[in-house]
Amino acid sequence: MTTLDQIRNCLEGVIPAFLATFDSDGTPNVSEISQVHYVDPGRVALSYQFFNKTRRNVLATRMASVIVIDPDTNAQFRLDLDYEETQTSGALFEAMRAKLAGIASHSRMEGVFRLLGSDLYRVSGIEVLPSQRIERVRPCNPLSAARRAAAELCASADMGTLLDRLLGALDRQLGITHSMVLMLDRGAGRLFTVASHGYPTTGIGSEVGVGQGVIGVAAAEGVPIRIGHLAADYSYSAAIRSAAGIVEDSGCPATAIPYPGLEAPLSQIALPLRPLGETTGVLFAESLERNRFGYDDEDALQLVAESLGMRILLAQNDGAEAEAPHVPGCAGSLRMRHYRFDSTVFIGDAYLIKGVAGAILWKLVSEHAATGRTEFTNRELRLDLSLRLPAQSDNLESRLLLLQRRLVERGGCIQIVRSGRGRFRLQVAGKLELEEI
Amino acid sequence: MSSVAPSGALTEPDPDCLSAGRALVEEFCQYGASTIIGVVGLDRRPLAGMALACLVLAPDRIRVLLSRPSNAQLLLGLTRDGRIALTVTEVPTHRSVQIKGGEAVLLAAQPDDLRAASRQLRAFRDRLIDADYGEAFSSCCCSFDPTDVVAVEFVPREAFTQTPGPQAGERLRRVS
Repeated sequence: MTTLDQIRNCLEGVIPAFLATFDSDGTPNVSEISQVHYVDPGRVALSYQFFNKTRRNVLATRMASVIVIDPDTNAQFRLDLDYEETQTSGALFEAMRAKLAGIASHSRMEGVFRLLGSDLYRVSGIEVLPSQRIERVRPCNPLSAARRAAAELCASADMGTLLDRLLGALDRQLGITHSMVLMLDRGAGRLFTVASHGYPTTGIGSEVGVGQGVIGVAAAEGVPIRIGHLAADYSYSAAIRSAAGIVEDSGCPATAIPYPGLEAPLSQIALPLRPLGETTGVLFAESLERNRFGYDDEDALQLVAESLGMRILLAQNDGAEAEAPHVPGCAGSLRMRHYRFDSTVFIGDAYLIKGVAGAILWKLVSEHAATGRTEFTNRELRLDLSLRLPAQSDNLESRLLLLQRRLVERGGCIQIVRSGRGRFRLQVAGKLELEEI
Repeated sequence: MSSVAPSGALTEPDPDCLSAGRALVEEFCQYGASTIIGVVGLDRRPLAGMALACLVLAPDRIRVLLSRPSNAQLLLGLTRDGRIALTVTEVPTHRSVQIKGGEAVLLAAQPDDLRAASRQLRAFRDRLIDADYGEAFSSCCCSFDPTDVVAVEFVPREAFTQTPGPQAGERLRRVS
């Protein structure tokens, strides 16, 4: 017997589906529809975009028949559907809305395709239709490749090294050449990049607003978001514009770190990191290939994302000591500027960091300048109310990783390094000259 | 090219509306189009089907060519309830028209039918390739076995625009 799980590739929206209904008098109606979305092994959801004849028929009879076609093999199936309900918000709705934006873009129907609801149907029958098929050869099994990639997380290493290893493994094992990890700053409603792979610049510290682009929507809804075509509504130019709005209002010099992502990706996937059921970040991948990520890739990568989320959580109690970076000596004084408004920190005239990570750095360098202190603990940062860390899920480890990586890229004579369980060391090779604005 | 637009109100079927619908079906099929049908199955459930080609024979006669193995249940359904919906869609533009009719009868395919199916499917295949569906997929999707082809003729009664958008499903009217 054919199951819905076996035919998920038909439900990518590459080929339009054909939907038949009839009205209360039994008059048939048939139309093309842009999206049949896989929900679970027994259900699909259809995009509700207009209150048209099809919808009136479904509400009247609660039955439909849909033909779906596999874009790779030309396998064809007829599904008997029984309408259950319509959802107009939430995870399923957002996942379908993102995918529909990609389909609309590909079909040049932007402005026409707008999701009003996700109509849920139980699949009561699947009929295999005879068709001339194309043999499909998959380049790799996503599940076994994901398992090998996730094995990188078992190694004992500091969080930064783990993230870099994982993204490298996604490239080697799954052929994902462009990826990044972003962590959530819940208070600010933004995600910040802590690791990236495959881009000309690392973009460490670049930000995306929650709810913006596939990354922001995945974080907001706590579900994987996937697009198989370039979609203007979900592009990073849009996401970055939104995040940049916050910067423009801050009153300090330009502080946006350039987003490293591809300028015109054709496929994007964002998987939320949800250890213990709460979103803490996003694993993101993109490609110049159309429809690069399918349902199987989504499942496999979500398993990797879940392992990653737990590993980051465990890193807070990890005692691994990182190798101290080489800190070059500096001639003369190190001039640092801090804008109290949003804790933006400049070294010389170059922007370094802002927000909670900026506040942490300023606390460290201020204490160092006053007392010469170099050893600090995570615990004292958590107890310091001036840093405005959230009471729960403070993501302190991620913020320290962000700070550490920005310092490696831009800090020069100032570095921080983990020195043990819940401890880290500030290394300054020069005399600090601090200015508070 | 016919110039038609959806009318606002649902009214009794009128000849102009049907005439506009038939013209669009002929135009779309000539240059390659997706052709789908909907019927009521024997178990009183809706059934969607894909057609190979479509011919407007006369103002009161439309002939749809189907592959019998892919549409066995659908053909059985038509023997009990002759009502049928036919939607023809132009691939690159998504312009789409739906004809609803009745009194459908199942007929044997004739040599002219096979020639028409070959011609329309070849045009459709070219449209799919132009739309980036790939040559392998487009060719398989538009292939058919001549020995499997059957014809269904029905009497068209109403025509509707089916082009995606808020007006999809509204009756056609001729624009002067």
